Amino acid sequence: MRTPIAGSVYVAVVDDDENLRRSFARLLRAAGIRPITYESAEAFLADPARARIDCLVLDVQLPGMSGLELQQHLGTGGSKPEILFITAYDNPRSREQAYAMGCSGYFRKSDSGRDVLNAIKGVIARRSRAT
Amino acid sequence: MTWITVVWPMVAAVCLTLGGINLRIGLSRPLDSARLLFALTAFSTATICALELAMMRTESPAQYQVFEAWGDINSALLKAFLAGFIWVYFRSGNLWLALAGPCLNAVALVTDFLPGSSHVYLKINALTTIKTFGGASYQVAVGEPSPWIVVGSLSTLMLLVFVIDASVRLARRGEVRRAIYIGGSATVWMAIAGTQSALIEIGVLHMPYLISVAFLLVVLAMSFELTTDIAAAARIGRELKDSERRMDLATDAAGLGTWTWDLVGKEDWASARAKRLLGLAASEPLTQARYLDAVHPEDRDRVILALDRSMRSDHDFEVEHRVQLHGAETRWLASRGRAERNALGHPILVRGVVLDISSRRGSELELQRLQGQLAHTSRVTMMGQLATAIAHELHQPLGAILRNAEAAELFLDHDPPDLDELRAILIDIRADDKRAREVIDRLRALLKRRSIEPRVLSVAEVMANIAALTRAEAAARGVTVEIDSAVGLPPIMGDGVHLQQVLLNLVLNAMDAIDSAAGAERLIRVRARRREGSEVEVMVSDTGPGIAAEKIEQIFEPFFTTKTSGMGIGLSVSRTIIEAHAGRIWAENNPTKGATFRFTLPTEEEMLV
Repeated sequence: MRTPIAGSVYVAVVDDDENLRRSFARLLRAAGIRPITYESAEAFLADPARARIDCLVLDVQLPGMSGLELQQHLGTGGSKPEILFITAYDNPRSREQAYAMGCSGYFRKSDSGRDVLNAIKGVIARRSRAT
Repeated sequence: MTWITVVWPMVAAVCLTLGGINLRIGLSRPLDSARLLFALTAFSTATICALELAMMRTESPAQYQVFEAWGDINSALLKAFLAGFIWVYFRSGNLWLALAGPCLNAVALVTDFLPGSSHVYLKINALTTIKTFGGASYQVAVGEPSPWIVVGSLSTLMLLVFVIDASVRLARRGEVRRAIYIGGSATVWMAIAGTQSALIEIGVLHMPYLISVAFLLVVLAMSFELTTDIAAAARIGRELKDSERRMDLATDAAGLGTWTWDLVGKEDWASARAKRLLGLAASEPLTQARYLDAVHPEDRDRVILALDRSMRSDHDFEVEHRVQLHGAETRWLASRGRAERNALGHPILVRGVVLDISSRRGSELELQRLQGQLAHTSRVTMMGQLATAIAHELHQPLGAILRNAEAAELFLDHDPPDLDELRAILIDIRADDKRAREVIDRLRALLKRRSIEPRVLSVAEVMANIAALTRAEAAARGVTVEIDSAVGLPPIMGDGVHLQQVLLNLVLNAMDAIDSAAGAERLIRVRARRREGSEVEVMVSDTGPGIAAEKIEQIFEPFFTTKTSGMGIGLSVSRTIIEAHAGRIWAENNPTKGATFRFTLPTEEEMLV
C-alpha cells in the first residue's frame, strides 16, 4: 500500500503536450504524489478549486497565456502556489524573470527527474509544515 | 512548178514534221495518248495531201478512182483519229456521237471497194483539166454522183456534232481557250471541207479538194495547244528546280534530314543527312522497317505507337526518340511526318523530317538538374530556419520517454511493483519513440533532393502537415496560424513534399512579415477553396506590412530578399514548383492589412484530361 507523501498538499502540472503531461504525472504518481493536470494556463485559472493548489509545475511555452505571464498573474492573487518551471527552452532571460518573480525552481525538460522530484518534495515539505 | 505543186507538198511536210515530233514525245513514258492520236491525224493528213496531189495530176480515170478510194480511207481514218483526239484531250463529249461518225464512214467505205462503184461517183466518165490562177492546172473527175455520198456526209455531220458538243462541255468546265482553238478550228474545217467536197462531188464546184490544206488549220491549232503544254512543263520544271534548291538550303540551315516512305511501291527516299542522322550508310534505302530498326529498342514501342495513331487519325506524327549508333553512342532525334492519302483515304506516302536534338535534350537535363539543386539549397536554407521548431518537436516525445523511464524505475521499487503502470509506461514509450521517428522522417524527406513525383493528394492533408510543422515556431513567435480548408475539396495531382515546401515557405515568410510589422495583430490565415474551372486555390494571408506595389512581381525573382537573413530563393523556387504542377502563384496586398499569397493547382480530373 503506497503512502501518499503529499497528504493534503496539492500539486498541479500545466503542459500543453499531452504525452509530456501524462508521463510527468505518472512520474509524480510513482513517487507517491497525485497531481492534477491542466493543458493550458487558462484551463488552470478556470478551475474554481485552484486556490488550493500548493505547487504548480509549469511549462514556459504555453498556448495563449505563457507560463511567465501566469506567474505574473498569480503573483497578485491571494494564496499563491509555489511555482516550478520546466521548459524545453532554457532562455537566460526567462530564467532571470522567473526567479525575479519568485519561482522556486527552473528546470529543463531534459533535466533528471530526480532533481525535479526533489524540488517538488521540498515544496510539499514546506507546505505541509505550513498547514 | 505551180503553186499547187508547192502548197500540197508543203502541207504534207508540215504535218509529217509536227506528227513526227508529237509521236516521239507521245511514245516516251508515260504514254501520252492525246499526242499519239494527234500524230496519227497529222500523218493521215499528209497522206491525204499526197493522194489529192496525185488525183489532180493523173491522166487516167481508173487511176483517179483508185486514188479517190484510198483518199476516202484516209479521210475516214482522219475523222476517226480526230474524234479520238478530242475524246482523250478534252475528256468530255458523248461517246455514242464519237463512234457514230466512224461507223457511218466505214459503211460508206465498203461501197468504195465493191467492184464498179465508189461512194462518191457511181461511174467516172472522164477527166477534165481545169486551169486556174497562177498558171496551174489540175484534173477533175466528171461522172455520175453516187447516192452513197449521203452516208459520207452524214458521218461528217456526226463528227461535227460530237466536236461541237465536246467543245461546249469543255468551255463550261472553264477551259475556254482550248475549246475555242481546237474545237473551233475542227468545226470550221469540217464545215469548209465537208461543204466544199460535197459541192465538188455534185458538180456545183470545180476546184481542188481543200480537205487536207484546210486541215492544216486544225493541225496547227492542235500543235499549238500541245506545245503550250511543253512550254508549261518546262516552266514547271524550272520552278521545281528552284523550289528544290530553296528547300535544300532550308533543310541544310535547319539541320533537317528529309525522308519519304512509299507505302505502296518501293520509291522510298531519304536525304543524305537523314541517313547520316539515323546511322545508315549512304547506299542503304530508308524504308519504314529500316527506320524502326535504327530507333533505340527502349523507344521503339513509343515510336510505333505514335506512327499508328497518326495513320489512323490523320494527324502529323511527332515523336522524340533515341537512335543507337555504332558503339554505345546514342543520339536524340525529333521526327515529324505527315501521310498523304489517296482518294479512299488510305495512306500511300509518308513524308517526314528528322532533327538532331541531342544538345537540346542535354540542356533540358542540365536545367532539370540545376533546378533540383536550387530547390534542395532552398530547402536546406529553410531547414536552418526550422531547426528550432524541429528541436522542440523532438523535445516533446524525448522528454516524455525520459519521464516515463524514470517513473518506471520508481514503480519497480514499489513492493509489489505496479505491473499495470509499467505496462502502460512501455506502451507510451513506444508511441513517443514513433512520434520522434516521424519528425525525423519528415525532416529527412524535406532535405532529400528529389524530382517531382506526382500522385493523387488532398490539399487538406498538406495543410494539416504544415500546421504540425509550424505549430511550435508559431507558438515561439507568438503568431496565431489559422488553417481552414473548405470541406469537399477535390483531390489534386501533385508532389506532397514539394507542395509542403511551398506552403512552409509562404507561412514562414508570413511570420517574418508579421515580425517586421511589429503590430498587435499577429495572425496568419491559411485557406483552401475550390475555384471555378477545376482548380484548387490556397491562400496564405498575414497581418504584416504588405508588399510595395512595384515589387509585387519582383519578389518571385531569385535572390530577391528584403530580409537580413535568408538567400531570397524561397519564392522563386516556390514558383518553379507551382508552375511545374501547372498552377499559378502570385501575391496581392490585402485591403485592410498585410499581404496574401495565392497559388492554384489543377484538380486531378483536370490533369487526366
